Amino acid sequence: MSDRPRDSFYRRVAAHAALPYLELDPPEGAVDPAVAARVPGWAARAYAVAPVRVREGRLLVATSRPADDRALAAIRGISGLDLDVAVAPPDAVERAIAHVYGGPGENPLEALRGAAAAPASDEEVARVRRLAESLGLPFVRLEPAESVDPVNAAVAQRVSARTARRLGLLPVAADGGVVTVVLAEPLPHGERLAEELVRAPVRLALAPPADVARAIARVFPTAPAAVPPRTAVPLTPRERDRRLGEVLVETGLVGRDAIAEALRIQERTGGRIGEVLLHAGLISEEDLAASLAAQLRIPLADVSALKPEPSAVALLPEPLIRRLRVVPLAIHEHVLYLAAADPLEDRDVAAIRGHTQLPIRTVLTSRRALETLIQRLFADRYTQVATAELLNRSPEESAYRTLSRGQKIVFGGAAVLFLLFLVRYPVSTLVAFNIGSILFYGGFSLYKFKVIYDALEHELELPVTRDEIEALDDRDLPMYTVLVPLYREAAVARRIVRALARLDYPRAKLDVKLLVEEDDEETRAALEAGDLPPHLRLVVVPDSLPKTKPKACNYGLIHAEGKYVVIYDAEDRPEPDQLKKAVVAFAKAGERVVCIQCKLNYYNRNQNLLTRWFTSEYSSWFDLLMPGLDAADSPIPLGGTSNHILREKLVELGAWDPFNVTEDADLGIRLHKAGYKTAIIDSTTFEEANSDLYNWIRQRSRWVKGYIQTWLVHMRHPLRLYRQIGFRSFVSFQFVVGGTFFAFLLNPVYWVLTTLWLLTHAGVIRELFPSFVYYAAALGLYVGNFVFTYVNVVGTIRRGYHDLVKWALLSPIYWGLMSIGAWKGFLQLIYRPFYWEKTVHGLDHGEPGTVEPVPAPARGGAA
Amino acid sequence: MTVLAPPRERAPRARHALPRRRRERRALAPSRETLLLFGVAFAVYAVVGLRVVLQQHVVVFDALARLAHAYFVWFNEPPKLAAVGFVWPPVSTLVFLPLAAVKPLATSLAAMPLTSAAFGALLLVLLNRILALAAMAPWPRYALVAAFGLNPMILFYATNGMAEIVYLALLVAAVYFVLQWYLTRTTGALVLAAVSSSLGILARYEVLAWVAVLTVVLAAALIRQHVSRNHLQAALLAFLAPVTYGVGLWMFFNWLILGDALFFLRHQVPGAAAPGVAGGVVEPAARGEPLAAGDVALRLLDLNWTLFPLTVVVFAALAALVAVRRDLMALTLAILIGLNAVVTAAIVWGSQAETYLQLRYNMRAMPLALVGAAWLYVAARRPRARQAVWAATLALLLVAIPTAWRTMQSYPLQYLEQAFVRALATGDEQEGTRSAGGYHVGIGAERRMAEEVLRRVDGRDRILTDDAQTFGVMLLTGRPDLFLDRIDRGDAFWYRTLDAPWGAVDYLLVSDRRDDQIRLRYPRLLRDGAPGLTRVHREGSYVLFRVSRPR
Repeated sequence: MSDRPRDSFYRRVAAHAALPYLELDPPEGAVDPAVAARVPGWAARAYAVAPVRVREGRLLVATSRPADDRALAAIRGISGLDLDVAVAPPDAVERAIAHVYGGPGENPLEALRGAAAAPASDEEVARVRRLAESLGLPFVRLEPAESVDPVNAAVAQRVSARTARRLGLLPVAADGGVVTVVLAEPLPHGERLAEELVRAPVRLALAPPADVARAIARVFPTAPAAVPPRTAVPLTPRERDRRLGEVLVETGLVGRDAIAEALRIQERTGGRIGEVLLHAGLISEEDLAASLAAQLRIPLADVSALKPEPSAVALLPEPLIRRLRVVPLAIHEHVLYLAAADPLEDRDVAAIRGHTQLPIRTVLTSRRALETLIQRLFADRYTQVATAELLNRSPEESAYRTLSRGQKIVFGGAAVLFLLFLVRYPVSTLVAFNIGSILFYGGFSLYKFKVIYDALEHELELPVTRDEIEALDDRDLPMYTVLVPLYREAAVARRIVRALARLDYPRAKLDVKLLVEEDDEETRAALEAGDLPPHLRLVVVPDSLPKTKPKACNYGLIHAEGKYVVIYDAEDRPEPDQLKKAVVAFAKAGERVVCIQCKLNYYNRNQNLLTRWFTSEYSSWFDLLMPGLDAADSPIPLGGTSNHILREKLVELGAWDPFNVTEDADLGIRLHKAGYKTAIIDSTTFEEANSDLYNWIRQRSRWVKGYIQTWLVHMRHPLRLYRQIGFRSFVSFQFVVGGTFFAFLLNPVYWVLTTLWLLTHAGVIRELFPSFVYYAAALGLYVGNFVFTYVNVVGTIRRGYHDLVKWALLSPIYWGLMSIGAWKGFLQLIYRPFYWEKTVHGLDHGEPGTVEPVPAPARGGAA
Repeated sequence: MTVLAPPRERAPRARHALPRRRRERRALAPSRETLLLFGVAFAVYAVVGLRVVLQQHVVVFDALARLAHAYFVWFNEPPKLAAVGFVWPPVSTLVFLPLAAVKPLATSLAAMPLTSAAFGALLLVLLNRILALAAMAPWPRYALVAAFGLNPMILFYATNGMAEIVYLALLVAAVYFVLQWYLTRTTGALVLAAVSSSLGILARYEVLAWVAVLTVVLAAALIRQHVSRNHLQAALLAFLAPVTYGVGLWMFFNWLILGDALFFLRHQVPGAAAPGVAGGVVEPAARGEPLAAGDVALRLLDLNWTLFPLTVVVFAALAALVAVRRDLMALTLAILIGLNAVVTAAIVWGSQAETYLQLRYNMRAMPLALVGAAWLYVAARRPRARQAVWAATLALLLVAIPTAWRTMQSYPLQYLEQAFVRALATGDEQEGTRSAGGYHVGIGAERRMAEEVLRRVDGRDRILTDDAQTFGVMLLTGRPDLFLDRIDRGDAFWYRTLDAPWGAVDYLLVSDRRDDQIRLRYPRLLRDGAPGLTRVHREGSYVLFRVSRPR
């Protein structure tokens, strides 16, 4: 900051405080060095108050923090003079102090470090008494009188010798649960610190430093290890960690061995010592915050239930609040009080200064409490963003409207024309429709077969080797956000916690958001029933419509901190090295690759026939079709979970469409439209296959509805889409997204026609199938159906599920079920377009029939 | 490129002994070498075939029948897939469908050599891939492939539209992919082996015997690898599913349309010449003496030696390899080669029909012998030994060219092979000539009758005819809709019309062959005529009768 605006600011501070502004530069003319006799240098430095001169029995002091009453009271007490206060910029205050005292002054507390000290002089006793009075603290003596030691040695043991000597502090008595803590010198926020140290309510008192030193020597007779002197040089993070470790040891929260182990872990994984201890489960977030507060002498508070002043909150923009993890709590006497989860760095302060010039006073709080507060404060805003970001940014890409105006005109017109022709030329119209359908069907089948065949013959996944994973340095790993949307998942909620615990990724670099809907108290209770590890955050998604998984994910994404984001469902079991594989894959892939899709499969495949079929289907879809699409550089409709995405790009694209019930597929298409690419890697997430038929049909109906939504959204402007993604991708989109629902809708029609033909040989059916159409239909019926059955067989073999092969041969029955789901979804699109057919999980009943997941064979499977 | 490793039979092979191709986009398409080889082979076969079939009229009627029925699938009225018929294995007809859809290619008969050329080229490509699997350098394997492809027997069947080249290509494809699976255990290879096997059986039913051997090999290889029971079951199911489905579907169609699921087995006569060819086959019944087993074996050995000596040499060498090294794949290939003679001998012995000793029934071992030579090349291990195997193979292939040529010229049990080599040697038109085995060469009668029909008739279903006998005429008119044949509305309707054709049709087209259903219904028609049926034109074995209108 340049001098001019700085001075201007402190002039305003002075004006606000109705105090004079003092020009201290240069200090030689402005400051009287004789004042050093009135205020010791250590006190001036500790309270950042520069004594300037004594005039008419009053001490003129300069400070940049005129509202720091405790500092001024301390100086008043130490000097024994009433104060005249003036405001000056902090660097001018520093220079003035340096001018008066020269180098760092002697801290009288240093005397406490000696094994013994001389009794306090009368002068010292008088000085401390005055100081106590000015601070409103009781003044006590600790010298034994008549063989009675006023210090209760048992109570004194509540702090370590080192802490006592460092801080000049000693618990001396306890009464009714309140501990009397005696200080040798007033400490900023001493009460809070003392409470943290003795873990009880405290009553503070002041005693001469010599009394305190002698009392400590009596209670802790062994000479303490030398403690390095404090330094005025700013602490490096490493030094700060070491100091924090000391505080933690001194407060008895962790032992030295734990600190040593944490330092070793830190060496390996990077991160801050507090985080390492936190994620090792050795301290709580509250412990960490309190220790930091103690170390840095910053007030501590639990702000989770606070109601900040709206005028204070309005001072900082929400993104900054979220990024810095600070919440303005109040403005009091022209000082902005901020709650922060971490001590503010200079750059953080500078960022805040960009929005307010008020002096800042920080209150430390636990990260959990701060996040709770932030979520509560901005819930409406976040909900609005989660719901409407994509809709506002590019309404054409949102499924909020099922059909655009143009589509309504085109589809409506086509329907009317079709009906008119049907009435006028019924057979010809149906034949024409039949021809179109069968041509599309044929193209869809051939395309799908081609893609699958390519995948069968080649290893198309982005290769990631074990060596590459092992070569990763944990210190270099990026922050990884895991979003876990949960709704009515109380039965399986703990499973995902266990599954996430198995992930091989530094805990300190995991940012897991368990996204629970506000009205889902059961799931919340289930999650809260067990202690969640610190990297797992419960995020309550406010109750609002649409109540969909993508909206919850968007909500979670707002708070995401990771470079990468991945979604897992409640019942998912990702392979432990999946995140690291994804990191390697991202590093190896080209710049266009912003998404890594992992394979999905099922762990309860042998539960019943439905799960066997479902597993066969997934095996061919994720092990064959998706890698094939990837290799063909075609748009990939992403799977529901385990898609790892660069957060920056995800945000750039407007994240997930909350109105699309297959937001994953939609996002895959949008990625491709934006010129990005999805790669497939050979890592599997195991899920629970739907084992209940009705539940399965509901799930399938949602998928089909979502595919229709996705197709309609991206076909609002077919020509534009064609220009955006090119011919091959356009065709692929039609077949993979359009063809998937079209085939399932159409299948039953042709099955019925075939059956009727075989039974009746009705002439009208023959008329619908002129020669070429008939042969194409026959080819589809006799060859196509077998080919796709066989694809499922091959998929299961490739996955190594040899026991499922015989069941895969019965896939055509499964297709019948798929068609039922498809028609349900299609009809539901008309009357409940955004309704999310919730899939019930936990139907594996304690996982009977569950078998050990078999990862995809490293080299594409073998028979 | 995937390359064979020297066989190590004693220890189960590692599941992934060979590196698979990784994300090689170019590998998704056939290699340039494959495309080039296919193109060259196709061009050579097509040029030879178009000249011999279209200009010199060496037309094999079995092939003509299949092409005609493929044509009927598209252009008969009403069009029906059932036109494929149930007498022949369906794939041998279905392969004509793409080109038969183009009228000029079908009616000019160009579809026959072009289809064969495509499968001939595919056969050479597959053999080249197998030799490449054996780590043979490009030029040496091109030499072997060329020497094989220019063998006159291969040349004939790669140009004449017959089913032989189709099923040979599919059989070799099945063997190739089983080999690949044996070496890599990849699912893709297993799938392609299964599909090739299925299509091979539907192109020629006796391929089933080879597929059975391949199935046993597959199981044996997995058992030696100590895989789980589920794994074994899955692999066998994956291999047999297409085979079972293909055969099952064919049985279903037989049942659906003909009411007999096994009709295709009961009524197919694989050794018989197609109708339209003058008889000349020497049958034992005519000679009055039964065929002795020893005699059959000796004749087969002699035939294989003179037609393609590589077969005998490779069989012996593989047998020796099995004895010395207990090499499973050598045993497999030896069985596959030997199976050719065993199957033929069994059919001949069982049916007592000498006709099965025809040249073409002994072709199956030819490409398999070259596959066996590739395995011997691998087994040789040392470079000099490999060079010796290669040189010996090339020499035997080159020797086979003149020996096959001579055999085709002189062997009595054959199928226009003599006419073919004569056409090649002289460059002369073969229309109206005869070929060994008593065959007439050419399609002059069919062409002239077709012209007569077109001159007289214009209207749908005006000529009642037995399409199984007069397919040549029907095809050459290019208007199968003119004919009321047995496919149009089924046999029942056709026979009812035959019983009372007056008013229902304008003409009857009859052939003088004994299986012609019209001739069977009216046995004296050709000689004495019949009331209300007036003979109006005759060309060769075809006679056109006008049907009187009812009073």
